[in-house]
Amino acid sequence: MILWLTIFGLMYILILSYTSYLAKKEKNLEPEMFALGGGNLNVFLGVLTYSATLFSTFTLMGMPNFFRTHGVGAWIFLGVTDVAMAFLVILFGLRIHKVFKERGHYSMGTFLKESYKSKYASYIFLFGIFTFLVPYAAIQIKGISSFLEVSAPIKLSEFYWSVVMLAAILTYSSVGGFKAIVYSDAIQGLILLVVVWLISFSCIEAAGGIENIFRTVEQSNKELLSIPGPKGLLNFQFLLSAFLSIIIMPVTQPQLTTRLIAMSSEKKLKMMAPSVAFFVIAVILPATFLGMYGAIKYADVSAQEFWKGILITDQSNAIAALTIVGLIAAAMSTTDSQLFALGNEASILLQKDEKVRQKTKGLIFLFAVASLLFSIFSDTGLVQLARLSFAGTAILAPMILLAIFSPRNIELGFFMPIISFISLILFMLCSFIFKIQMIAGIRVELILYSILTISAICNYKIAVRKTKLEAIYDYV
Amino acid sequence: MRRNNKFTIYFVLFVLIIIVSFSPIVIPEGVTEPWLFGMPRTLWMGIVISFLIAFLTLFAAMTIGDAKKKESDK
Repeated sequence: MILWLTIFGLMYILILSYTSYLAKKEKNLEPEMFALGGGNLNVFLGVLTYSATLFSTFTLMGMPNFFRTHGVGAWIFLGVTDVAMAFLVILFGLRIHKVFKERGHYSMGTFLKESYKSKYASYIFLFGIFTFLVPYAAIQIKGISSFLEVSAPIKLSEFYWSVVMLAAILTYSSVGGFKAIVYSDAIQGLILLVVVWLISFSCIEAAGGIENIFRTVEQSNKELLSIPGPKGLLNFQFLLSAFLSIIIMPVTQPQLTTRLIAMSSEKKLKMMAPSVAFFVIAVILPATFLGMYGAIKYADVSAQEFWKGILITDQSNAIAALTIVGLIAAAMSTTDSQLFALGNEASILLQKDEKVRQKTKGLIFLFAVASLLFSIFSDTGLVQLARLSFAGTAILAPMILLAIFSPRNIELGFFMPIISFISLILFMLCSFIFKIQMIAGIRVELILYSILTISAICNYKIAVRKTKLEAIYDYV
Repeated sequence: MRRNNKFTIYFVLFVLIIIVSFSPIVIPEGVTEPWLFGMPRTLWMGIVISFLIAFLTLFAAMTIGDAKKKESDK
């Protein structure tokens, strides 16, 4: 396998070097355009970078393991929800693209600052995304490092693999900024798609076909074939909460929002959405079969042993080597997108001069260290951490949507940022300190989403009425 | 039919599909029948729903652009 790993590894490094060179050619961009890589993404690059940022190591590792543990109900959580998010990219994406271009923004923080006429609105946004994106970035590092620790031919501990991965990510993202990350996403997206299908085909063949897989699971653990799954996790409330948290990601997760703004035109943006939808199905479908195959062959082993089994041991040397390279590429592309988005949002908010690029790099480094620490000390599963990240950032959604869909001339006041901040604190207390998931039989995040949505609607109505009254007074 | 009306229809269809996805039609607790394509109920229905939404996304994307263009032409 060493030979194949060397071949694929060298090919990956060569392609990355070439794309770094391409990105570096554009280094004279204005500071604000550094954040968007020139803002000229076409449909092909747009689809791949958006999808690769959305999917990552957790496609090849987290998803199959989640199906193996919780069963086919995970399709509703992952498949239906992610495709629905692609549909809403049309609505949210077109509006964000239009509003940001018209008002000259290239970061959500500055947009919120202008909309709510207060820098504290953008600080609250930054606080929210930092709190919940660092765990998300940590997932990638944790996932790939724990896998490499048990599977890679080079024997290093999880901690050292984490450091190696972060060093590679920081080096690459500092070379060419957003554009370099977009190119690495495109490469990763293609590798991911090829690898997940190759592995899936070999597992389906080994298990004697798709029907055989599910019939065997029916005999061994029938609960995996319906909701709520053997552990009772995938109940209606969990699925609904995950649905609401995920469909809103294009506006709440800056690494995705940036990609919508960076599309060269609205026409290309709207054609990106259906392509993402089909990409989602193409990636999650084989992950489902991998999970069910794992439920037969690796029912009672640890996640690490399961990953090693389906991704390495059960595959030919060439596919196993390509998988390792694909996983490294996946972890790199998603983590650098997240770290870059965090660094970018923070540096644009803090900037007072043209030194955006330098500040972005410094902040990316700080966020990388925070992610490393989180990955070391966290012992929660990959998908659960991802869900926590989605749910946390979704609390910001009503505040963001109110700003995006409100006309420029109305006074929104400061009510939504305040109530969003209080909700963030409550959610953090419930999730990290008190470990409370339900209040009066309803999931905490569902209660918060409901309160925030009603508040945003009321805020909008009051702001519109106030603006109309002011117009009448001015006229009188 | 006006194209922006078409988009509204696609959006209503999208909402209806989502409601069905979260109903006992697709996610009944503890039920695996009927099987199709060698897969249990929740999975094959979920996959069909995902394809329906993906095609709706395609049609909606084609429609919303044309509707906006027409509005700007006026």
